[in-house]
Amino acid sequence: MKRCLTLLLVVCAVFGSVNELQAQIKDKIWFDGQARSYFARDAIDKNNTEDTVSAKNTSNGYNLLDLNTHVNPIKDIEIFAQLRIRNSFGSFFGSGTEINVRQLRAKGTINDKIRFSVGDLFLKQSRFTLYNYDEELSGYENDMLKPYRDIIHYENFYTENRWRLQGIQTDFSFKFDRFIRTLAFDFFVTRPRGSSAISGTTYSSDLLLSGGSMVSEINKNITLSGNYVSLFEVASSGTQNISVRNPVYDMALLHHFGNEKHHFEQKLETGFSQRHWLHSELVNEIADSISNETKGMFFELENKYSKKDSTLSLTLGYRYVDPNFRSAGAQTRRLNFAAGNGNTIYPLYTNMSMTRPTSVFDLVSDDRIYNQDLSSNLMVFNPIYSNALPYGDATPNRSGVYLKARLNNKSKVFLGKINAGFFKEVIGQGTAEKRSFGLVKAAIKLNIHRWLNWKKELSFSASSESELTNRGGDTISSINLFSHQVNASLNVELAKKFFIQASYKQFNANGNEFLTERDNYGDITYFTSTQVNQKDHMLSIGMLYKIRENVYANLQYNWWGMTFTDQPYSDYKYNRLLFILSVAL
Amino acid sequence: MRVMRGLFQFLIVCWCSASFAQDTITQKKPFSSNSLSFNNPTSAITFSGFYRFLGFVRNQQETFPNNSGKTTVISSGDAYREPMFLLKLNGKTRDNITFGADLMLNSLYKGPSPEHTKALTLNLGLNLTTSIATKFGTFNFKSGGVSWYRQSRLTVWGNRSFNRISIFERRPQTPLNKLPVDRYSKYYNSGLVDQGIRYGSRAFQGIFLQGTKLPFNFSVKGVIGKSNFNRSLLETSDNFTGCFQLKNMLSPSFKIAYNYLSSWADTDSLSDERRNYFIHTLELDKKWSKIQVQMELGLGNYRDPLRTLGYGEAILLNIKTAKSTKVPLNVQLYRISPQFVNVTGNFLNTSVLEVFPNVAGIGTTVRTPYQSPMVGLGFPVNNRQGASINADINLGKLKLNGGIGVFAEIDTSYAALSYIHNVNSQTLSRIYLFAQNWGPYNALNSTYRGVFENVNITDTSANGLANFKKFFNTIEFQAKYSNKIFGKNYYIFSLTRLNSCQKNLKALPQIGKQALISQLSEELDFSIELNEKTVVVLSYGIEKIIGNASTDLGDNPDATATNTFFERLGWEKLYRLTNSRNQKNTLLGFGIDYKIGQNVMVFFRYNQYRYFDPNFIENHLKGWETMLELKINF
Repeated sequence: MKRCLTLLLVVCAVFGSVNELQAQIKDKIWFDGQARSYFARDAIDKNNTEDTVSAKNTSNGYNLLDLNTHVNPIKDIEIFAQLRIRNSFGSFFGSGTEINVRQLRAKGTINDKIRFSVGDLFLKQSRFTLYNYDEELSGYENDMLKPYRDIIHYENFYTENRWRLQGIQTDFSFKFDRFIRTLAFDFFVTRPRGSSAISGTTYSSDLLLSGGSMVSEINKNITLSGNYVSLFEVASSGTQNISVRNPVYDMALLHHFGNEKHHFEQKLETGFSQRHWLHSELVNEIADSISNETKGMFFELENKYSKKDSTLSLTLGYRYVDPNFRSAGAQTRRLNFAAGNGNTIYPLYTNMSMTRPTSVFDLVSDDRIYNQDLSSNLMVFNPIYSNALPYGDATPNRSGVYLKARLNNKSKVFLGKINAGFFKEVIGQGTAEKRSFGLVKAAIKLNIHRWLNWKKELSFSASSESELTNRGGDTISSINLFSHQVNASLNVELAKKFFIQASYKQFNANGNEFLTERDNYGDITYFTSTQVNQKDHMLSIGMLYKIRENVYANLQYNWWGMTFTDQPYSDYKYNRLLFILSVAL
Repeated sequence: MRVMRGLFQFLIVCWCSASFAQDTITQKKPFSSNSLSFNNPTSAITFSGFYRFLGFVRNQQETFPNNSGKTTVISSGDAYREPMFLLKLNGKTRDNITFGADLMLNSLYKGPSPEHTKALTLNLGLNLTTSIATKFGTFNFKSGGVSWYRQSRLTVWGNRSFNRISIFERRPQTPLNKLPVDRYSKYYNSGLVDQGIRYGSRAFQGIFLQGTKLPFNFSVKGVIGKSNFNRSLLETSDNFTGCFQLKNMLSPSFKIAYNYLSSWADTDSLSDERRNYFIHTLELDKKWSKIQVQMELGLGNYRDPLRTLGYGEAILLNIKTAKSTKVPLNVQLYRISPQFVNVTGNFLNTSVLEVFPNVAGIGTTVRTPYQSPMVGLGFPVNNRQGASINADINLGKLKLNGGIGVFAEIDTSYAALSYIHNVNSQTLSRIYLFAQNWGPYNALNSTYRGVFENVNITDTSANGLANFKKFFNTIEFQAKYSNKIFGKNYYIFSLTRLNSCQKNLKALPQIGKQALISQLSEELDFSIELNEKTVVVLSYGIEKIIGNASTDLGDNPDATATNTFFERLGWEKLYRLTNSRNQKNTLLGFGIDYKIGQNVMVFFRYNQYRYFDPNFIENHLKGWETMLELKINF
C-alpha cells in the first residue's frame, strides 16, 4: 500500500511540475520538508582495556530527504504527503536506499465552518488526558546538543508535546453575543495500534483512542473547558476476549486578568479516570465481566503571574493525583526502559558481552530508544533519571506543590529559569511509609556579547537539575536516592554565523530505590531493591555553521562514559565524531 | 501540613481577588486538539529525467557446457542496474541550498505477480549543496552522494583514454542528440562522445568542499568520504578516503597544483590494524602557443598488516601540440612504481590485490583487471613504465589518428596476464553479469559492460611469480571517413588495435610465438543517414587472441592453426600451429536510430556474435541479440 502511495505521490509530483505550463498548478502544489546528512563514528576509548571483543570503532551515516508535498486541489482542502528518501552512507548505486511514505494526511474545512483531518494527526488535549511529556533531563539542554535533540524529536514525531496518531479529527466553534462568548468543540477517533497476527490463528485487537473537548470562553476573563479521552480495544477485531477500557474525564476553569504591565492567570483543573479490562464471554453465552478495575482522580490549582515585558514569569501551584489515576494518553512515556529496549551504540560491552547500562549520552543521542506508541499500562522508568514525576504532571500517587519561574533583564544579558517542586506519595508502595520527593532545576544563560555590545555572540549557559527521594521506615524499606545533573556550555561566534562550541554534562546518582515490576494489568507484583552509585559524563567540542534555525552544519566530538562505584557493572568510555547537516526545506 | 494549608489559602485568596481585576485578555484561536498548518512554500522544485525502455532478446545457438538449457532470454529493462524511468528531483530552498535526488522506477514487465514488482529506489543518491560567497572567495559545500568527483590523474580520475571505440553499442547515459546523425557526426568531427557527467570521474559519498576565487589566484577542492572502490568487509568499519587539491593559476597559461590523497581501512574490527596508503603529487600545466606540457609527479606509500611497501614514485608526462598544427602529436610517458597504490586514480592497480573490496556483490562490480593487464593507450598501470605517441592527421575527408606505445614492468609480478576483450565485450558481460572467474575454464571476469580474461603463465619463479618482467606493446589506429551518397551523409569508422605481451623489450607488438599473448582486433562501423530522422548503422568486429607455449594449454590434443585462411592457402610462414589460446571473436551488427519527436528516439540493434577457441574446445559461444530502445527525455 505504501509503495502504491509512493508511486501515486511521485506521479502527482511529476505531473505537478513537468507540466510547468501553469501558475495555477504551482499554487496547488507546494513543497517544504527536511533534508539531513548524518555521520557518526563511535570508538572505544583507547584507555578502555576491559573490552577486547567489541569492534574498536563503528561508523554509520545517511542522507535523507523528507519531501513534504502539499496539494491544494481546492482552496479549503489540503492533501499532505511526506515522502522519505534515505540513502545509507557507504552504500552505492541503490543499495541501502529506502523510499517510503512517512506521513499522509488530508485536511480541510467544510463550508468554512468545520475543520477536519484524516490520516496522520498530531493531537494534544490537557496535561491529564492527552499529552506527550518531554523526556527526562531535556528541559535545560545546552545549545551544543540541540542537533541531537532535534533528530530525536523529529524522528519520533515529537512536536509541541503532541502524540502522533492516525485517525480522523474534527473541530468547530461558535461565537455568541450574549451569555457566553465562544463555544468550541473538538472530536477525534484514532487507532494507535491496528490488529495484527500474533500467530497463525490468533490476532491482537485494534486499539482505539477517541476523545472530545469542549472549550467555552465564558467572558473575557474566564474560560471553561472539558476534555474526554478513552483508550479502548475492540475485542471483536481480534481473537482475544480481553480488552482494555480507559476513559478519562477532565474539566478546567481558567481565569486570567491583568493590566498594561502585569498578567495573572489561575487555573483550576480536575478530573478522574477509570480503567478496567472487559472479559467478553459471548462464546460461553454468559454475561461479560470486568476485572482489575481502578478509579482515580486528580486536582490541580495553578497560579501564574507574568510581566507583560516578558522579564518575569512566576507560577505556583498545587497538584494531587490519585494513586489509581490512569490516563494512557498522558502517562505514556517517551523513554521506555523496559528490558529488551537496548542502546543502539555499543549495546554490549566488556569481554563478558554484558548489556551496557543506558547513559546520559544515550538519552541525548539515540533516537531509537524512544517510544511512539501509547501504552495502557504504566511504563517502566529508571528512577535515577526521573523519580519525582516519571509520568509528567499526570504521575499517579503524587501530592505536592511546585514553582516555576523565569527571569531575564530587558536587554537579555541574563536569563534564568527555576523549576522546583515538593511532592509526596499519597499512599506508600509496599509499605505504609510514603516517599517524599524534592526537585530543583535551575538554568542561567549569560549573553556576554550583549553586555559588551558585541555583534558576534559570546554566551555561557549552565544548568543544574537535582532530585531527592526519601522514605523513612526500617532499614529494608527506607529509601534515599539523590541524582544531580549539571550542564555547562560556551558558544563563541568566531565569524558571522560560525560558532565554536564546548559543553560539559555530568550526571551523578547515588543511593537506593525499589524498582517496581507490574503484571499485564499494571498491578505491582514485585519490588526489586537497587543500589545506585554512578557518574555519567559527556564532554563535547565542536563547530557550528548556522544559517538560520534548523539550517546548520555541525561538527562535534564527544567524549562520554560512565563510572560505577560498588556496582556490578564495569566502567566504560567511548568517543564519537559527529557530523550533521540539517536543512529545513 | 500547616505550610500546605497556608499556601492553599493564599492561592484561594489570589483567585478570588483576581476575579475582579482589570480585563486584558487577547483574542485566541478556537481550540483544536490538532496542530495547525500554514501555507508556507519554501522550496522550488523541478523535475527532469528520462524514460528508457529496453527490450532485449538473446538467442544462444552455442552455449558453454554448464548452461542450464535455457538458451533464449526475453527481458525488458537493462540487464545492468539502469533506470527505466529516471526522475531527477532538483530543489532550492530559500537559503539557496540546493538538494537533489534521482528516483529510479523500473518494471520488469513480467506480469502482475507481486514478486516481479520492483521497489522505487534511488539511482545514485542524495545531495545537498550550498554556496557561500565571502570576501575571501566563494565556497561550495556539498554533502551526500553519489557525486562525481575528479581531481588529478594520480589521485582521483575516472578511466579516460583516447575514445577510440566502436559506437555501435549505446549506453543508458548517452544523451539524445538533436538529430540521430549527430552522434556519428560528432564522433567523426571531435572524436568525443558525450557519456554523461560520470565519465572521467569517480563516484564518491561524503563531504565535498570547493573554494574558488581565493586570494592570489588560489583555488581548493576536496572530499572526505567513501568511493565505491573503498568499501569494507564490515560496512560499519572504518574505510575512508580523503583528498584535496590546492591549485594556483600563476598565469592563464601556467597552473600548478598540489594534490593529496589518503585512504585507510580497518582490516580487523577488533584491532587497530589497518590498510593505509597516501599520495602526494605535484601537477604542472604549462601552455605555449603550440605546445602544452602537463606533468604530475607523485610520491605514494602503502602499508598493511602483512606488508610495508614503503615509498614509491609516479610520474605522468603529457606533451601535446596544438590541434591547429598540421599533425597534432601527443606524447605520453609514465612510470608508476608498484608501491604507488591507488584505486581511484586514472591507472589500474596491479600490485596489491587486497586493496580491492572483495565483498560479495561489491567486489565483482569494481574489481578491474589486476594481473598484468594488456590495456590500450591512455590506460596507465602501476608497476609499469613506458611511453606512447599519438598523432592525428586529416587527409581531406579522411581523418586518421593512431598511436603506438611501449611499456615494461618495473618489477616481476603475478604469473598471469589479463586482457580486455575489444569485440563482443558487452555481449559476453551480459551473459553473466558481474561474475568473477566464470566460463568453462574460469577465466572470464565481467565488469560493467565489459569482460576481461585471465591467462596463466607457466614460467614461474620459486615464489610463484612470473620468472621474468613483462613487456607490452600497443598500436591503435583509427580511420574516419565521411561523405555523401545520394545526398545523404554517411560515416565509416575503422578501428584497429594490436596488443602484445612478451618477455623482451620490442619496438612493435609481436604476433609470433615469442609473444605470450597477442591480441588483434578490427572494428568497422558504417552509418548512413536515410533521412533527417533515420540513421542506419552497420558494424563488424573481429578479434584474434593468440597465446604461446608459456601460457595455458587447451584441452584439444591437436594443435590448431593460428590463421585458418593462410592454412587453407598453405602459406606456412604466415601461420603457426598452437595448443595455447587461439581465440576468435566476431560480431556482425545492424541498427537503426530513429527520431520520433523532440527528445524522443527509438534505437534498434541486432548483432550476431561468436566467441570461439578451437584449442579450448568448450570455449564456444554463438548466437544473436536484439535490442529495442525507446528513450524519452523530459
